Amino acid sequence: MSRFVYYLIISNMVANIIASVPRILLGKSEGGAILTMIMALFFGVLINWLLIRTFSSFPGKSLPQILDLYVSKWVSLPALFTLGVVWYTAGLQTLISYVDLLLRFLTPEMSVYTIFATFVLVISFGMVMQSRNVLSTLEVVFVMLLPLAIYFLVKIYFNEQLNWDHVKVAVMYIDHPPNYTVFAAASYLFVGAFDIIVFNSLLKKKMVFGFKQAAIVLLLGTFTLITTYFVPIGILGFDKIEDIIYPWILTSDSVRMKFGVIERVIFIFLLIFLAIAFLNIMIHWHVSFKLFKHIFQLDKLQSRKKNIAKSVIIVIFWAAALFITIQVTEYDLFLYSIYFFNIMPVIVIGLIGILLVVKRRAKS
Amino acid sequence: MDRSEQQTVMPAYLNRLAKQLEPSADVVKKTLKRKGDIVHILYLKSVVDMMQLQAIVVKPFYEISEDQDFAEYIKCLPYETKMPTGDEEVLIEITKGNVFVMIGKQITLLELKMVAASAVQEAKMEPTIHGPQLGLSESIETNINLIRQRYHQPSLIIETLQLDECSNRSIALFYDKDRVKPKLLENIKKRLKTLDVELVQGGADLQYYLNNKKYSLFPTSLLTERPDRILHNMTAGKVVIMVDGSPHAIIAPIVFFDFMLSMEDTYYSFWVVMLIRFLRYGGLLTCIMLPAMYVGITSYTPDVFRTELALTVAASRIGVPYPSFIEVFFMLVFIELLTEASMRLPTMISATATTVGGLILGTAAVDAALTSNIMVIVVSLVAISTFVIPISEMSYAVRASRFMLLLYTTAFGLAGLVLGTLGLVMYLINKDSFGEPYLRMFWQNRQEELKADKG
Repeated sequence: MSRFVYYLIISNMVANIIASVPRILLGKSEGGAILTMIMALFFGVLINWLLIRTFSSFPGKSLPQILDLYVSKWVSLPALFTLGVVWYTAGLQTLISYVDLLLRFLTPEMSVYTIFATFVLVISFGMVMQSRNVLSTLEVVFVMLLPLAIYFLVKIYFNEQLNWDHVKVAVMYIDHPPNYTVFAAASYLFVGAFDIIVFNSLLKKKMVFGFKQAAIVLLLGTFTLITTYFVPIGILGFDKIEDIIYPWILTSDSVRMKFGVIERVIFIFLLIFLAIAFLNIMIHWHVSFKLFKHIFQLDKLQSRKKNIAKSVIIVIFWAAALFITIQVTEYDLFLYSIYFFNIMPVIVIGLIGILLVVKRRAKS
Repeated sequence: MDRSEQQTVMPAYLNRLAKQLEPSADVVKKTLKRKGDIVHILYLKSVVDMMQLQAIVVKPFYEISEDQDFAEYIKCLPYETKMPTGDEEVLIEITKGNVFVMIGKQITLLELKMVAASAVQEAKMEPTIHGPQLGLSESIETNINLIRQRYHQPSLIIETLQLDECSNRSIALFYDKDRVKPKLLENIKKRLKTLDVELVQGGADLQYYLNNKKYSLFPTSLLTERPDRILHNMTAGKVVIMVDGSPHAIIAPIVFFDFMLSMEDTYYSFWVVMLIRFLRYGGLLTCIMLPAMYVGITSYTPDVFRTELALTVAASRIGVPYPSFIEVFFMLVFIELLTEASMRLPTMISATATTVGGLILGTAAVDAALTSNIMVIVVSLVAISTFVIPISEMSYAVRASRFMLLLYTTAFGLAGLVLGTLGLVMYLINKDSFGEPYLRMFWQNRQEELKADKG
């Protein structure tokens, strides 16, 4: 598997720590969260395996290209459109969560519009960049963030306040029956690799997904889920954890650097995760942008001999995003996020189904 | 009219050439006459080495015995340059310092040029403690010699071209034919040939014209005066371009990390180099982000700092009558003026300028409560860390980008700082230098990955 696929997986896993996923998981901490997470872990590896396996038959081809070859337009266009909307929503969900977070924790006096505007320029640039450069950005930013991220993790895990007794109490709930929403939210962490529906056109080498790759994805997933779920419980305590709206913000805010220039770890957390959230939005919208561009054949859209497709999509994306950001309250965001996560497994399975059909057609 | 008399008269062709050079004071046309033999020569005395001309052409002409053929002798001289076609080209060769020799019907150009500025200069812009102390010279022949002396490989190709602009400057292309990518070479040659400019003065402006983009902040080729840097890059398969009369060579294509490399790095042990690099990248981050960070923290989110530090910063800002971003802009512009002034002034005066500007005005500004103490520290730190960047063009670009980041942070706070920095990174990644990605990381095999991209 190309290293960029791992980056995509990691970026999606990490970006969702800040959004609604931990809240959903911890909300069922007295229900079947743990058992569901274990199920989601294996489901996650399974969908990644199926995805890479099917795509490995088409090295260097993106999903729109593949569908054009093997499926009629009546199937491919609605499918791609759905995917485009889903990917746009995925980015939008992260965007709104982060706008909300910044408003609440970093710059409370700023207006929503200003915070929103912070993202517009940079993300638009990221959307219309060449796909190759999007992946490079991902890599460079990861390398830049790595020292900070390691520091943050060490700080969190070796924190005196991390009380393992609470974690043990939480583990006792392993025998409760699973829950679908938790399952959907937990398995959403694994859909990062699905960005290759567009980026596969750059991955010219035939990918393999053997035991080693599965183990890596499994380990990454396990580590992320354990960190997401158990660290807040260990630090904040088990009893009222299900009522906390931003568990991870509170968790990181309870850690301090005694001798540091910056005392509260939360600022390091917020700024690292701002970078990662930004990457996540950029990637999702880039995928969505490419899909829409393919569906509407926007390369032909001309005005005064200039291609205005880019500007049209950007304007539509941001207009919709602004409208929804203003409309949605915090409660709505959580509710819609749950709907979104609930739909996601269906979309993923549908996508894999199409891919399997296409693969069979390609063989015959 | 007898035969010898007819030859004494200047041939029409020579006359025609001479007429086009006149009324320059330094045009010399001479006829060497001896029993039976007549030689006409035409040259510009200001660019021709007279001693050599005397020793190589004039003296042998009178010393050679009668049964030997002088025309044959001239033909065999190692100084001969290729005779171009067309009057215009021949004239250009003469202005370059070639001597036009005409014996009967045989015409020859002898390269006996004298270059005043052929001394090798000390490397001023990129000094190193170890490593070669001398840079390039202003004469292209000397430079070619410098490179050849250091790189004994038959695969080193030096192509000289003549630019099609009004000074007919000759430029030289250096590359290792076994290492360079043919496509890249073709690309660079094409750009050189399609160059549409009025006048090229040296490496720096040629580099700008080659770049082909009018609005570009970061340099996409590197300008150097160090032969060791040239070789270092040439062995990596890059192309080096030199312009006659300029002590700088252009290296293309280039990646961002090349600008952060000082040649010193190759002369020290591993850990020392790691430490220096760490400092250098730290300096880069500092000088880009620190002013913006100051604004972001003091004006938007003072609680980022631990309480004591936040209070110290706030206390030092007591009495400063305007918000932090005006303070930062004011001080940054001030420091830029100071840097610019000390660069343009002669060395003796620039010391005064820096003392007055830096020390006296700095203290006075703090006393007058126009700026805070901490701001002065921040600005000095920024100014110092700008100089850590080894290549001056990059440090100019960084100085400019720092203002943009400052604007972005002023508008959007700390989130703006992070996103602005990411935007800058994206801008660099999206850039390319002669078709090669500008900022990229490679694992294992660089060539393989690049190939995979292009398909």
